[in-house]
Amino acid sequence: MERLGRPRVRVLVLIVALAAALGGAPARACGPYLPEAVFTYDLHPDLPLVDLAAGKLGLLQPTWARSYLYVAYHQIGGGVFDGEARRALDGMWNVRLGRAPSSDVRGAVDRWLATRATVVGPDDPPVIDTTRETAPGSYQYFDNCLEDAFTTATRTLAARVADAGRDAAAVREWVAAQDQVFASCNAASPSIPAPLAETASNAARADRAYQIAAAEFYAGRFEEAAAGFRAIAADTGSPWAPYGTYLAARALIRRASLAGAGSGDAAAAATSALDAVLADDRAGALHASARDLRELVRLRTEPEAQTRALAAVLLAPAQDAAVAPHLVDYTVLLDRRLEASPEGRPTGAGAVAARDALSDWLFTFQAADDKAREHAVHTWEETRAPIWLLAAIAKVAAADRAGPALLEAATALDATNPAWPTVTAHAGRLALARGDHAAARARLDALLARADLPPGTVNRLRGLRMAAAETRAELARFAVRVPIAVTYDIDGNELPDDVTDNPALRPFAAGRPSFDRDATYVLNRRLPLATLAALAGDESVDASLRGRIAAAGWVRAALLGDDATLRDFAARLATVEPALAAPLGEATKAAAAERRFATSLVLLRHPGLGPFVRSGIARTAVPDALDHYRDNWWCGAADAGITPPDWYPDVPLAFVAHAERARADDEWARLAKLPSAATVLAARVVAYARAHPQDRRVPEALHLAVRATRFGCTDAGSSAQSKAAFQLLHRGYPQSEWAKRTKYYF
Amino acid sequence: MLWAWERPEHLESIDPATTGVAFLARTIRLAADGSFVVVPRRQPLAVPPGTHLVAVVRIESAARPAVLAKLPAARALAGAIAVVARAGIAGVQVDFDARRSERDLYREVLRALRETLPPATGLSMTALASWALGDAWLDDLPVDEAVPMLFRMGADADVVRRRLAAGGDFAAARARRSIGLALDEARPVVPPGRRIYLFSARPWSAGRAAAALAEVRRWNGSAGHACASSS
Repeated sequence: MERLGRPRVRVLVLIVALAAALGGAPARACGPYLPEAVFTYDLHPDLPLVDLAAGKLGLLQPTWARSYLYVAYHQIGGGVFDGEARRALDGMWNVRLGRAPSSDVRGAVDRWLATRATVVGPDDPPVIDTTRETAPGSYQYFDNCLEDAFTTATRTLAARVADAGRDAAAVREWVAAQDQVFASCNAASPSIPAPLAETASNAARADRAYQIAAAEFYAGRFEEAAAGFRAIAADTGSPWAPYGTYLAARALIRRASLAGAGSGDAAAAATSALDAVLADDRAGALHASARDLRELVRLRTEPEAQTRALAAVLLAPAQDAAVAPHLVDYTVLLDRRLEASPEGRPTGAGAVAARDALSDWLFTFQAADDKAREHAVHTWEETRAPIWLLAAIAKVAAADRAGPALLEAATALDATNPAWPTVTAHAGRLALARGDHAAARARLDALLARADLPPGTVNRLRGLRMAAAETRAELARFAVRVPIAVTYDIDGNELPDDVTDNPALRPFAAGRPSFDRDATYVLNRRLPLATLAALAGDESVDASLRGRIAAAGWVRAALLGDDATLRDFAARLATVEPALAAPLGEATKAAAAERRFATSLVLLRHPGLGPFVRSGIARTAVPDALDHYRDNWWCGAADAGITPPDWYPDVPLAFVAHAERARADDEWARLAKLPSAATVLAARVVAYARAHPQDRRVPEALHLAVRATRFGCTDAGSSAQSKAAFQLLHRGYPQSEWAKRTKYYF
Repeated sequence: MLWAWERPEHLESIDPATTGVAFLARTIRLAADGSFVVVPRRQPLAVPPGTHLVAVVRIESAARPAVLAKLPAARALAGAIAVVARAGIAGVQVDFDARRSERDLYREVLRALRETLPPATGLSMTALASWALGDAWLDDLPVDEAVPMLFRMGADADVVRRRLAAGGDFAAARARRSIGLALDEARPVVPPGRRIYLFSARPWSAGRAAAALAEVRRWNGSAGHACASSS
């Protein structure tokens, strides 16, 4: 049985973990897990998380967990977190993200078994499962035996050995009984130690009484456990007496927790016992824990009232270390409320129905519906509070009636207010959406001039600023970002992975610049080939990124038959992608009559090439190698995922003239009509092969065309082209090495 | 079969004569040092009496970087899985997206598990679409079925969909007995006679389950097949 003495925060967090049915883990996609570069986190602020509690708010995202948004809310309202509060919050977040263990129960079990082995030897140690099913057949488990139980047992055994020696029969009997206690953690049937005879010493009998009550507790016989603990409390000679009443209350609370609804009598009895502990001056060491348990009871029996009470506590201006357990309780209650709601997520209606200001704001900021927007604007108009200005301006679109007033209020907001970065970013977005690029640039430049913004915020702001670019040079400047993490995201917590052993990924984790999705959307969809060619030659852009643009531009020009631009891109490649410059340059120089075939052949030899500039890590396999996960060539434009991120204001770029926009649209439309790479390249090769059967390159090209239909993105037309290439190869060149290597079509 | 994941799942409304439940019973997290942590199910699961139940054990790597420096002992891992096979459990399903470097371990775990489980308890595994497409490593695994997961497929999606649409099938025989689908993704062509596992990104409700099963009946002719055993 665990005793007290752990830090209070830990105790409550553990208790809540036991008693509360926390929200389910997010459904995870199955593997394979592919690495990706992160430019701005969606689920949490930048790391280290403690920076948020220290006032480095940056750009608030409605997708952050509510615990982060509370910390931002509190500081925008003038609240502060002292050093202890910051450390407690940091610890709580790291546990929630799996960056730190919530407890070390396995370590405590191992330490217990090691100490036990000094008495009974190391052979055949008991298998201890610390979890137990809430009810037989429920398949729902909870942590039945906690870390402190094993720590207490380890400490007690050491004391008994020190008193009587490791070979004493009483010590061995104590160990045997303790084995029964821990077997009760998970045993299907109770394993309760027998009472000691009257002839045993008082100390041994007191220990045994405690072991019996603990075993009853772990076996789920809570009435018997409570009775046992009450008897221990009444035994003034027992060293366990000070804990008796408190532990009896714990037994009743666990009974109530496991019973769920209809357990009000147990909760009432537990509350009464805890009141007795709190009224007992001799139990002063237990008061803090008893108060925690009373809060736990209230969480279960009065969730609405407790939500309001916790919100009030959390909004006290000065917060200390207690903020962490309070925030855990509060957010668990909000999670439960949302789980029970029909929508299962924050909505404007839910925000309006909230009965405390904090919950109201959190739900409003996170909700994406019109009601939430209307509520945010209305509440801001009533209160003029910066926190509601933030919520309102984050939600309004260009045509919203409140736009001008919100922009005016954003201008008036003091730059020292923690809300200022978020409000100013959205003011820039709103100005842009309303067509005022100059105003957007002014706001965003003022914001980007600050040196205290988290890197993830800077990346997002650079995206907005790119949309407001006045010149091509500005676009080039703001399109380039530095990833803040490289992650496989196996646990779904959006945390960096250590990729120092991976030479393809290591540079991105170390600051190699790249493009985020908004930038590649603009490059791929909003710019004509000529502008892409100019960007490929812009030496202000990182060379590897110019290489991406030049390679994609070359492919696009080849597909669209734009020979002049094809030459332009080929020339750019010489400096930024030397490995590609030779083969692509050779195809570029081919005679006009065979250029389509030559470019198709070089593309078939290079599965890493495609007409779209890629974001993030791009492709880790070298261009002329197949990718293990079939990231080869490209899919049709409609399936290539060339769409703007939700946050990106897809407004016309100021420096792109109307005629250039029309050209970009025309090029895109022509590209969009093309099928996937496998189909278009195979079709071109088949057509050339029929017309030029004597060309020595044809057998290889036909083989590669079939290969592309196996390893590339395909469509309804791929199979026919695969078959045509296969038949041409085997009929026309049956003895060639290429035919022998092509056993099937796809 | 309805996959019931780690969240409160209330499936009292299903008809146990036609629909089974494969519920996440525990998750085993592998650490870089070869140890592992067992996290049992925390969320409630409610099903009608007599429901065909398959206990799913998910294995995932908690290691960062994602490649484990040392692998755990296969027998220990199998032991941690086998405990879910209790009375009332018709089968055990292992969900482990094993990397190439972890396949030998996975094979040994499955062999040890097969030896440990009661003979009447079925042994199932989920399979990445790429495995089921043509990866020979499924062939010698001692499982009754490998369920191709036809959702969240990434780069394999087009290949799988095209192959199934053309009347093709998975290469491994064990991958031709069942198929895993998600409610929130377009359904590929499903060969006839397969046991259907359905995954919902949101918790099941009576309405969601009924609609999903009606949809399966519409295109599959039955509500996924009664599951007398998982083999």
